[in-house]
Amino acid sequence: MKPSASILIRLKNTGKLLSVAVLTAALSACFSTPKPDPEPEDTRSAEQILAQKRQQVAFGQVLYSYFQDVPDQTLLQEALTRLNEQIAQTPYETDNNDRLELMKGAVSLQLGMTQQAEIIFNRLLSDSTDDYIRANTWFWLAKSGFAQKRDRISQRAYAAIMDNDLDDELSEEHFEELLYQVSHEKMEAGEDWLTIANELPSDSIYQTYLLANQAVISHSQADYETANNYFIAAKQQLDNTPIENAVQDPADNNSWWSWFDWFGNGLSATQEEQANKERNALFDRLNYGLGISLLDNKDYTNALIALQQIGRESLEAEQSLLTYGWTLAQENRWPLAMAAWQYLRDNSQGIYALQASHGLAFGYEQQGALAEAFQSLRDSSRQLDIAMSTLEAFDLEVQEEDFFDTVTDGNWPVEHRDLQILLLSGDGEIDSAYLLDVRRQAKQLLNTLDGNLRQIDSMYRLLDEREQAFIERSENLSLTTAQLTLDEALTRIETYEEALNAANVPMTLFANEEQLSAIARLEKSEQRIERINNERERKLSKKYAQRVARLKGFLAWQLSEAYPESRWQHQKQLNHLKGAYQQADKQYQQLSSLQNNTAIIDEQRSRVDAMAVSANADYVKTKALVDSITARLTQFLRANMAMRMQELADQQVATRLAIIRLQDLAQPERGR
Amino acid sequence: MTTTLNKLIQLSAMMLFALSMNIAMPVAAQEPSEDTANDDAPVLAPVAQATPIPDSELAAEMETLKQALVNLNRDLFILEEDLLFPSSTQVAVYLAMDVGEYFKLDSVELKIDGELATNYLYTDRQVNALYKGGVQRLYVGNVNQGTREVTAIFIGTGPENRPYKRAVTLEFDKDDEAATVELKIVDSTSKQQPVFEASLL
Repeated sequence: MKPSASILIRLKNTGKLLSVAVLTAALSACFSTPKPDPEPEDTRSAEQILAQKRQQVAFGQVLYSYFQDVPDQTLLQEALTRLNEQIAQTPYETDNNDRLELMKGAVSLQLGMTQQAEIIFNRLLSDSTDDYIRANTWFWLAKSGFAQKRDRISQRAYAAIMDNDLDDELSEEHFEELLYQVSHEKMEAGEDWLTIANELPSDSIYQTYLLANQAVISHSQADYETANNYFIAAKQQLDNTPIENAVQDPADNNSWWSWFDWFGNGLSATQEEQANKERNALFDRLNYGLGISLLDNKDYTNALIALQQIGRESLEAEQSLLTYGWTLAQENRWPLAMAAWQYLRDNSQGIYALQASHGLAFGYEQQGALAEAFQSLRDSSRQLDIAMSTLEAFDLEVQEEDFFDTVTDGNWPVEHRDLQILLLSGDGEIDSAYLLDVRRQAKQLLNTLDGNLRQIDSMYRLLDEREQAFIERSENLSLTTAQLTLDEALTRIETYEEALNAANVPMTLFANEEQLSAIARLEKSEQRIERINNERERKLSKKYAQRVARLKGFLAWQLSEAYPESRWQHQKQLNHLKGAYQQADKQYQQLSSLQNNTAIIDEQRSRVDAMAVSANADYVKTKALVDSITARLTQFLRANMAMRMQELADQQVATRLAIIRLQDLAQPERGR
Repeated sequence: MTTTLNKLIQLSAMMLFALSMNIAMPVAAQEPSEDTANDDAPVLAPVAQATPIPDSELAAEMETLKQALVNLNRDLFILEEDLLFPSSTQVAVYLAMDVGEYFKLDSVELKIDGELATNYLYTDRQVNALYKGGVQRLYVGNVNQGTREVTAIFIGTGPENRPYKRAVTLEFDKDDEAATVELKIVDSTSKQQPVFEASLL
């Protein structure tokens, strides 16, 4: 029902009806049910509500990354979770909070953030009473201490775990690692380590490492017999270790090939290749150690057998053959020594082959074979030339900015592979292995920052596009018509309200069309009766006027009866109309403010600006760090290369002098 | 002359040994030369992979940079999400799993209003992470406000190692706040079957 359009006409004769309406309203107010207490207003922001909803989900996301062994992702998720917790303003319960902390500590340690990790572990150990938290915190703290060669931390962790029956709280892998660390610490302290090591599974790779390290320790104490026995035991142990145990973590990265495990194939082809490679490298080291130890024990036959088992691609094989030759030469066992050098000279191009050529010349001379000695010196001289020119060319490569990015790859001159080993392991002056590792990490940070800066650029582009689209939309959106419609609606509402709230509301205000028509007819009848009575001498019967008056009275009674209901209905309609108007006006105001307001985009742009500043600053710092490490490594390597060049040059001079002398010997009359 | 040659060759060899010392020649191969003697150098290095002791200054610098990067990545992640998936249109779907005795998850196909949103294949490691309480954000995207329908089809191996495929549907009203849908795979011990649930958080 639309509000009456003829309200203004009907604002007459309403006094009677108004009193009824007021009475009805008063009664309604007296008997209406009291309103319940309003619910406390939810003052949470939409952001906070969402954060609270997502709190458990956020915790689960950290677990999801953590148990996939993706440390950087875990750390990011943890940071997001903490931010979410802050927004939600609902802290996690102690149990979940400590687990979050433990995961953060563990991944921080994996990412080399040792200080942060240890602060977390120490806090957990002092605050938490949860078995799982305590056991695992001890494990990670021990791992950190062991990596930093902090004495006996693993033993303390082991004692704390065993004394409190917490070993079930550790995964098998972690418990084995702890046993290995404890055994190793005890071994280095010269204590009984076998008792702890025996707790390890018999096919654990740690058994091999422990035996090998005990062999090395025995060798350094000149206890060659014991060293030999341990090396042999380590080899046997490695032989009995399943290939999948030969790598520390067969699924060390989060790649798709871990799928193959589902089909029961054990290791994938790639994993098996890697496992074989690691296993073979370990065998080489064991054979090398055994060979050296046997040589020291003057067991030349078995030493040769051990050294011959080293893989030919291993640099240790070449070094060991050369060593073997010189050891035999010291014993004046020339044929065996020279056979070893001969083999090395013919099968290698490295520095050891060069040394083998010299050894051969020396051996031939010792045995009076001057022609062969001459030939060996010629070979040696030629190799020295090649080695020097390669070194010179290599020096240019070393000075390139990205040289150290690929230092572990195979693109190293074969004559100077020993320098690669030196660089990868360092010496007493510089820990180049650590520097290379830090540089690698810093380069990774740089790559990540590069990615971040690209991401920031794309955010700028996105914001520019959005701003452009916003401007176009604003230009195409006319709000003038909407404003006029709203103004007109407001005028009408005010008119209706005024009419409804007037002191004398006319009776006819709430009459329907039929009633209005009847009133009009009755008024017309009255006028006609009056006109006839005035115009004619003979008056109409009073019955007509009485009938009209009766009908008018009936109609007035009807309107009076319907007045409260009608007024309430009209008021309801008006309220509804006002509500609709307010809603429309609010939307209009919002739209109007949006049309001219780019604050959201500005705010987002300022956030991107802040991040760009931060990312650029981090980039500069990281780049400076990379450059500084690169400079130190370059200096170290070039100094060694320069020393090598000098030695090669000296060697060349000596070799050429020896050649001339030999020529003189062969043709004594030539110089006369 | 023989003696001279002998001396020269010996000199060469000695120089060579000096050279070899620079490349960590084993002690066993050293000539008895004072120049080449190095009693402190270990003959054999420990076989286990030794972790270098960090240079504390450098380590601290690296740690500071790493922490800064974690914070930067966090802020970028949030900003990117705000830009790409504003809350008025954002819908995020998460997947959680309980036990997994009756169901081994292979993949999930997710549809929004009948349109394919994502089809995700799981690795063994990801499934294990879900078993251990992990929650995966399976999908985040934009939808218009109004009534929306999310359907997830779970494919894997069910009881008695049989191929298993089940779907779950959720209808919800998307308003101007971000919508978060949680999918759950729960073991029902009474039915000895997996139960698949979807709810709006």
